[in-house]
Amino acid sequence: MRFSDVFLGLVPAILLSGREVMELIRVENLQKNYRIAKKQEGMIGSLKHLVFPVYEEKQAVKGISFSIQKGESVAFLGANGAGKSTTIKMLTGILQPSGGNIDIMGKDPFADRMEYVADIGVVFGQKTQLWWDLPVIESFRLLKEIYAIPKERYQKNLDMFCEILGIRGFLNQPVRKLSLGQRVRADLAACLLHEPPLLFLDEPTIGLDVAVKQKIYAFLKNIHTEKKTTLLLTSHDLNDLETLCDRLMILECGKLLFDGRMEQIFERFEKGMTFEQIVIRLFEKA
Amino acid sequence: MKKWIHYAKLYILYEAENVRSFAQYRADFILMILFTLFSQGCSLALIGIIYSNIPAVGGWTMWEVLLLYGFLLFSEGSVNFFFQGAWKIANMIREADLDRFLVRPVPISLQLLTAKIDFEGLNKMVIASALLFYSFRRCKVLQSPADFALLAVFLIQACVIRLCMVWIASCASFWMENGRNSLNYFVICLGEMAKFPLVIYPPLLKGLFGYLIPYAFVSYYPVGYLAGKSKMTAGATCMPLVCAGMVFLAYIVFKRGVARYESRC
Amino acid sequence: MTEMKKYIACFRCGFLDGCASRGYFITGMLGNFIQAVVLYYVWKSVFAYHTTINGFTWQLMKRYVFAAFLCSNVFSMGFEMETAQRIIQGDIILDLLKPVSYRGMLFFRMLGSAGMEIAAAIVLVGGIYLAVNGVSSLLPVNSVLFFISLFLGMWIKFGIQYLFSLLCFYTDNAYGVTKAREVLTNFLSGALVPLAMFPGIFRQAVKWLPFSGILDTPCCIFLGMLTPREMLCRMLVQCLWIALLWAAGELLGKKAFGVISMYGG
Repeated sequence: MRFSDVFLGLVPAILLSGREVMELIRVENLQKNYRIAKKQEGMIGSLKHLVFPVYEEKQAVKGISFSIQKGESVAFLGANGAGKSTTIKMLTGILQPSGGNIDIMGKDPFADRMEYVADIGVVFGQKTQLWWDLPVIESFRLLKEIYAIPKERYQKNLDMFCEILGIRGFLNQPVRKLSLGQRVRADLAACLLHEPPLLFLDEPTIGLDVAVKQKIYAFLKNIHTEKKTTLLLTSHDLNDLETLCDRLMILECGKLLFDGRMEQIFERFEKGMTFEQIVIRLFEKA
Repeated sequence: MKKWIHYAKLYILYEAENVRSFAQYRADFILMILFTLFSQGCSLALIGIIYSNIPAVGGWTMWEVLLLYGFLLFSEGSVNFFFQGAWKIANMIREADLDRFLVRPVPISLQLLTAKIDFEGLNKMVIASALLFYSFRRCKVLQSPADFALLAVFLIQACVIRLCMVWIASCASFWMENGRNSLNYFVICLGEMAKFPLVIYPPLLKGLFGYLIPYAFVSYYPVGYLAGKSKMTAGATCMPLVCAGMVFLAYIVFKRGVARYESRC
Repeated sequence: MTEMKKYIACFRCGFLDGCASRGYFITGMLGNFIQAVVLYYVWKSVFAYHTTINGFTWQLMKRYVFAAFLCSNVFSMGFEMETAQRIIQGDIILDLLKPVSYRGMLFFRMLGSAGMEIAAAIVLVGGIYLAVNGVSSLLPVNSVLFFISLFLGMWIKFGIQYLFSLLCFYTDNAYGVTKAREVLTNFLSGALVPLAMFPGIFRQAVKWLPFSGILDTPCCIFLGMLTPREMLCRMLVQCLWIALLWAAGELLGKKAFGVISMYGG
């Protein structure tokens, strides 16, 4: 390595070191279109569609832009079909955007998928990511290999998660025998074993009882403050959003309706309205 | 290189876990062996019945035709046992199960291939091996160790081609509405044609089902070459090329397919 | 009358279902087509060396292949996989709780989704057949009886499929059950080899099994290979089997429904 290489390598580092807060996620004019089959009702319609299928394009996400800094905890809110699941799926590299740019930690989630997902954690509330027939601990061990987690770090994280989430009791049970609450906790632990700087949660508390929810809130708050993990959360439970997030983004019909700090939404409406009332008003309008 | 070793390690880990979870369904295992024996028995009996009436089909004796059957069965079994996930792609697309795989830093193809294991495949490979062993003895064609090595090479290539066929057929689900895809079934049905020597078919069919969908290279050419039939050398030497071509095609189809994935259930 | 209304609703449901997934039934039919093609060319090459085999000439054989293809397109897609899926997901409980006979529901739904298939097969096959053999080759009485016998055969096929689908209540391996049923039916119904070709005592034995009623009986009637007395006798045997399979279905069905173990939580 020559001196000039070292110098050129240092320049960007010097320039960047002045920045305290890092932009983790940058989204510009993100769009997603779906093809839907257009079909008339009844038997004649079905026959017609069989021979001459017709499709129309539905715009699920109509060009949204935002940026998220490292360490933020952001809530995505929207009525069913508003496009928030689609947005999350594009951010996690599952769907390819129809238009626009996504830059997360310097990578394109879809194009650089394998590199990118090594640094994120994802929890889908409605589906598990663990292996259905295997004991929870076996799933964890597999993940340790997949993410190449060093042994000490793995053990340390495992112990910590067991304590906070209370999962040690069922570590040896196959996932298919767990209750919903147990399974979601196991999923949470699983996605954080490799200490990703960015965590996506898609409806994590759906169907859970209050006690389990408290444990999960405590866990996520801990992760957020101790490890400065950036959180992106979608949920229909407004309690989740109020407890865990300091920033709120509201999507409606594929567009960003509101993007700002959680407190600011209250300023837009009459004093004394609860979060729930505000949300109902917003969804009714649109 | 390190990457490939890592993937190989993951493959073994995944399959080991598959075997483990399968061990929980033991009663099914016995039933499955019975079903397979039964199915294969019927199919073989059919060939036997045809040959009980006549000595040769297209110039091939019963034992030579059984060799074709053996190659087909072995390659089918290998896909079932080692790469059964390829069959499940259609289901997984339909149920939006692919999301799980897309958020792991493991190649999706590896995750898909190991998604399921089917011990019936092992069954089939065992039956096929027995069939091949017995038929080769009857035909008296394998003489030297080189012949046996060639047999192994041919078998492996046949398995690769079969895997690519199933893979490509399954990936068609990415383009289909509803994701209900019977293309794998269709491709396996085409295998029926390869149970008999290609000479009996007219040129058009030979072209379509022997070369375009390269079943000729799964059973006809390797077996023909080993059994000492005429005009087989060209076909047998083309096998590696066909293998490479299929793998390439499988790769492209898959990449395009994943880009189309809509993740809706 | 309200009973019929419910069944018609099931039929409609099945029909819409069948139309909604275009690729599905086309590939099913293509699968059968492949089988027919293989049959055609195998026998063609065989008959190149012998003029008659067991009462069949090449002319008769050609027509047999067409007729066999038509018959195999009736209810070709079994419903074991679907049943197994519904059992695993627990949806089967919904089916059994409905105020309609489970089997009746299944039958009409299958009829609906198979409706397209059957219609298309008759049009296509009929068209090609007439083009190749001419209208004069059709024997009017035989043709009518053929369709009646085919209809009876359809009921038998459903009866057998139903019994096999009950096996799905006992085992996880729905695919094995499907394959076993398909192979057994193909084998014993004469789909691949006319029953007349079976050696020795098997020929007699196989005629009395229900499977012969699915394909062999209608085809032999169509080809004019049977005397009127024989035709009537065979059709009576078909009816007998329909009744027997119905009874077996009732008995075994009750047993199977009691065995449902719930999956998941």
